[in-house]
Amino acid sequence: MMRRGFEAGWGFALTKTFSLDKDLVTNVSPRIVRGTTSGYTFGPGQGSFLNIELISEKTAAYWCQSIKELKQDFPDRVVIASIMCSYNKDDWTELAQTAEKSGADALELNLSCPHGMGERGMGIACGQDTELVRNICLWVKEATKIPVFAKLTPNVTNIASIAIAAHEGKADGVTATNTVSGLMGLKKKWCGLAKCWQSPAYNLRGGAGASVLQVGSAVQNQDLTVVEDYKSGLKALLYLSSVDQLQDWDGQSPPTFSHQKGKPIPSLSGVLGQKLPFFGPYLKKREESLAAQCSTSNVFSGETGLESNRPAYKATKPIPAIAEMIGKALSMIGDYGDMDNTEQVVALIDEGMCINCGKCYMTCNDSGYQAITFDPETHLPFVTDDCTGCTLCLSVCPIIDCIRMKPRTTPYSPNRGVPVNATGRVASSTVLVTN
Amino acid sequence: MAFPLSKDVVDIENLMSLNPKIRRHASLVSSSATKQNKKHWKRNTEKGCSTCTSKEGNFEDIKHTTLSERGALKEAARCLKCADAPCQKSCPTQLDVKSFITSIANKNYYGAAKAILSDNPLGLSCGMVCPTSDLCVGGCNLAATEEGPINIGGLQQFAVEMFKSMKISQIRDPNLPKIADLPDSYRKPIALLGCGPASISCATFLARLGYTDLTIFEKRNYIGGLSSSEIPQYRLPYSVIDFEVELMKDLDVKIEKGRHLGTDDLTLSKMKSSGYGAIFIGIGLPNPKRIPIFEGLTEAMGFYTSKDFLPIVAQVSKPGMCHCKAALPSLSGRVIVLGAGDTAFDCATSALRCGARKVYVAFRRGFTNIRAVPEEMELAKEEKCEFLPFVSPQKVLVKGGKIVGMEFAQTEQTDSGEWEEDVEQIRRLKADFIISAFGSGLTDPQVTKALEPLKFNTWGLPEVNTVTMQSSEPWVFCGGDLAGVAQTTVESVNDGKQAAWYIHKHIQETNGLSVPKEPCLPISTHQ
Repeated sequence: MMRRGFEAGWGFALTKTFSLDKDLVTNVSPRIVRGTTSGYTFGPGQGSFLNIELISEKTAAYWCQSIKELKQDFPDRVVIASIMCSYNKDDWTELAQTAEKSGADALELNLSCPHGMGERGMGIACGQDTELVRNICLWVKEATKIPVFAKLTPNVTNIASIAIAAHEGKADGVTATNTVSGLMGLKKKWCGLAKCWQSPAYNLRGGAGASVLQVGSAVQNQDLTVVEDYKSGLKALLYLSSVDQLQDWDGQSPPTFSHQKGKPIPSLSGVLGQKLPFFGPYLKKREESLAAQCSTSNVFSGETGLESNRPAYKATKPIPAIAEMIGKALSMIGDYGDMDNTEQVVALIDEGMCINCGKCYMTCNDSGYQAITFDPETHLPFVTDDCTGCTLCLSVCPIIDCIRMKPRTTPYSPNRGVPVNATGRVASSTVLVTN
Repeated sequence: MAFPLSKDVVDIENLMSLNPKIRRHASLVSSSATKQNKKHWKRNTEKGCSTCTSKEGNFEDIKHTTLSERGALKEAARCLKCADAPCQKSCPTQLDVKSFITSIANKNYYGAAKAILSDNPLGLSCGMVCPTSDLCVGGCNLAATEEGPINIGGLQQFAVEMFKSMKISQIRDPNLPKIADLPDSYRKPIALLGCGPASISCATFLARLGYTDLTIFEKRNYIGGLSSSEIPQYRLPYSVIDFEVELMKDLDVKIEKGRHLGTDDLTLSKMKSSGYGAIFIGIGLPNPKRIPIFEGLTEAMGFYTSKDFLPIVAQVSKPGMCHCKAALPSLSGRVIVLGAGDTAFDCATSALRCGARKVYVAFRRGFTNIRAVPEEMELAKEEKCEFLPFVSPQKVLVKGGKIVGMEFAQTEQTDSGEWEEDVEQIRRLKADFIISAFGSGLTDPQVTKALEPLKFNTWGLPEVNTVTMQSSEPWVFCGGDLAGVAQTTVESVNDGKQAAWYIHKHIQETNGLSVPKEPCLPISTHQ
């Protein structure tokens, strides 16, 4: 991916943060989703993404060999090795020197990964303390000659003091960008798949646990009458949660049926099993098949087809009071470590709903795992076995629920790039690391 | 190392072959190649294509306004939610449009439906068939932007459809006095004639007020009025009508099918003596307008009026409407539809569903004077119906007991604006079927006699006070097509609402009670 970046014209690239073999990680899935800041605009131009992705699953051996190759083929581009260790001088020394030897132009010390690493005394655990930051920088500067940047975390009260510590540690600069921890919308469906995963819970506006909700900016955007909408909406949600037949709804949204522009896709017996998108010769084929089906079918011999509107559904359990709902999601909010990385998912694309834009394909290619094929004739995407369930494709798809994450049926074994044994080290007993 | 780690293997390179690449040069593809290749990707219809694939038997939704949840959320977000919103002012039922769109934008579809159904109990039908470009959408402030006005009809349809899927029944507002505590005036029997939009609306509002003895009499063996009998399934599915009528029935409104206004069944004088406190007449205009040249023409010969044709198509294509087995009329061949109102275009597209090879819509005036709303005409045009303006029917050509064509005279508009027929410019068109859609009226003498002693106006319709909806008899109210103002479903619904208030006023005042000066109809509430 870095090679392709350089071929496209990018001037410098950083490796994904890598570690010593004993610190190898395994990701959970889903792990990267679109944030809620773009409202209902799906597709390009997303305002934010949420992620709980860890450092690289690949070994230091893989990265160092790759850096060597890239510097050889692109001598005028800058390759920066991003590294992470726990608070241990020997570890930092060993990894920094290994990276320098591979030909990297500079080092970035990852002192800021906000999830999954802090729990082990790495990443943010180092970056929130001025003494740790200062010492790590000093160790690395002592061991190497190339420039060193400290990657800081925004999850501190005063970043300037951390930066000063890095400066005191003789770092040549700081990287001042990384994920902000936060809670951005609770979704029933994520909670179903993997434990709800907003790890340090900075509640935005008292989301999950507060008893009172302030909606100042909602009124700023509109007017005071919005309260009526909140009241009726809340009542509706409480009612719907007690109706058995509607348990698969997400709030007031029914499960998305396979549609094109909101209309159900007719099932066509004449072209079963054929891959037919909705343009060109394929559209023609669909239309002809439908026409043939309609003209020969016995159009409505009597009663079939009317889905009855009565009897109405009724609440089958007592309708909860608001007091019962306060804090209901709290059991689903926890640490990264509460998640189970043996429960993995993979993406599945609904070809009926797909509008063939290829955003999933592009993002998987240039930001993911190259696990989606895109047919040159039908422009239908297809997820291959290489999928690791990162969920980027779903996050950039313009059609809601066209891509869904499904439980993975085969065991997940991360691609280490260069396997641990190949380097002659003692294999860590935990290749599939549990947290 | 056999292969560099930092390079993609061939399989992966192939997989990524369609990934965007930076163009270092201009592209070179011949015009002739592109002329061919672009057809592979086309999503809209090929221009210059004069036939579309057969629509025979195909009653799938053809509306452009239908929205998925994704589409609805995006459109609702686009709405500006204006102050003193012009969309509301243009709505015949005065729906608080901005409020329901705000609810949709907050994913509160129940709240949106509640707001809609409070002012318009037939909100789902209207969301589907309203000529919005002439109503709410016509006033939308976003029409002053390049992106254009909001698809209000589509949003309304979406919200109420979501509510329909929740299957919640309607109840009387629990904050109002209980039925048992209301005075006897609320138990006075009220009859409504015709189970169409006007009566359904009127009955709903009366029931919400607390009236408990409401009966709708419907002549057909199915309910819904024109929404069921004439508007096609692919614009307004029958399940929508069923849903709206069930909501009304939740409030204990009774319906008696197979009962009609006529000297042989219900008459105003009989109903007065049976003790009805008020009557609402919402029978519409049941009789088609026929011109003399149609004298003697029958269905077997290939002639239909819209009032014969559309109900047959409806009965076959609307599952659950009536329990009758029938077949679509087989209209294979050329069909001429006469008229240019909404009904004519419904006939045209329905004729295609009956197997017509070619449909011509022939009308007296020009394109620029078409009565139908642009949305309707667009649908017929998309389905490749052809249009014949400036022709006036002169003669129907019959051979061997079957229609073989029609003769038309050219029409022209004079400088003073009048329309003239020029019989020296004759045009003959071959055809196998003719469907006339010249509008309707009330001409059945059995019905007009049953309406005695109502006074009628020069158009043959009962005289109606346009504010109170009262006829010349203070206890008899009229609304919908029959009252002469409403020309659409939504206006008929509003007539029903208007009449409900004044019926309430009339009944209470004749029982010595009064009603508030400001009309206060209860909003819709649900279980």
